[in-house]
Amino acid sequence: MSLPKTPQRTGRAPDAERQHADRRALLPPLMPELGVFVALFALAATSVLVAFWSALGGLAILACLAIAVVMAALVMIFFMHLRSAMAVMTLAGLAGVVWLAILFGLTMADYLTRPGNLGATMQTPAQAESEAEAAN
Amino acid sequence: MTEAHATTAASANHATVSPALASHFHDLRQQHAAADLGLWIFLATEILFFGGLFAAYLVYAVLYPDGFLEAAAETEIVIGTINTALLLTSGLAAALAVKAAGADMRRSVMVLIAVTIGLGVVFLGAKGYEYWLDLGHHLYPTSPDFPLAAPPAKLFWSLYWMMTGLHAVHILVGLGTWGVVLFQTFRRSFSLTDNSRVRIAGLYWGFVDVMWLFIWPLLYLMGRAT
Repeated sequence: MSLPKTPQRTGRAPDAERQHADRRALLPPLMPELGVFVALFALAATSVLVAFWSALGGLAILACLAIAVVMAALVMIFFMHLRSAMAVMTLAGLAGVVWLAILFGLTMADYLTRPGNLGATMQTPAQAESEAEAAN
Repeated sequence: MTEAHATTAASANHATVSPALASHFHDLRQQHAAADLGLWIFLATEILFFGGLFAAYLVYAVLYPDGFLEAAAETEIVIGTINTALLLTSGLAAALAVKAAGADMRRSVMVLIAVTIGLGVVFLGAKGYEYWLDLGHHLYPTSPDFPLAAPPAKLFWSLYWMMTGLHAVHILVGLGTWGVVLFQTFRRSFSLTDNSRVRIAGLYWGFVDVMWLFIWPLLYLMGRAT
């Protein structure tokens, strides 16, 4: 993997030579990415513990999803470089989240306002009314 | 070679004459921002692509919570969690590859992309083994020997195959993109002064990471406490 020397690299000042050596290094500076990575692993481990914590029962998933939101934020800010990006990138990403919230919100506005116990019926209020009238 | 001489001669105002600068951009910063913004807008549409499946999951999990909790306890949580660790590590390598590209460290970029691809391939291997185990347990909705009694369990397992399948397709696309970028970096097809293609691949890989961070609790961590 020896790279051919390009003309502008010859006869440089010592400082430039040092930069050249840096460019051949195996890894770039590891911080803050490595610290974020350790935090992500800790959060993932916490999520597994919470998932098996019987006191929470079926609601454990909500705690796990809250941890997932924090992890996703860390990935986007540090691994996807939103930290140093122009604000318009964050806005473009947030636009997707806003439309997702509209998708969830309007969908649930339908299902959660259907008559009867939650999950007991798939009828719309209009259907329920007409059936009740037919029964009378 | 001519480009290199031109760059040396005009190194004082390097940014304005860089051969990496396309003619329709004012400077490299604008060129980078255009590439990044384009991909972020694409990722916003991708959020909604996955969002349809997440919305379906939300509706059925709210309508049939017991069936979903029972069905989710049957997924391979060990493989799912190992895959989470693999993707997070791969995401770290990808983020560092983008950082190295910004610092003009071509050798480092190649090493880190190779690590990213390697971990992604192991992820797919683990996912394939998991699918094989699931099929062995008849955990697909059309199986005559489907082991779970509750009808909503089939809804959960339909969503399991759709969500992990769509995610695996995205991993494949990401691996293909990284493969092309690695090849071009090795062949010196582009100057790292304009490292847009490395950053774009990194953004896409980060998105695939983020989607898994939500798929993992919904399909694997769900239903373990009951």
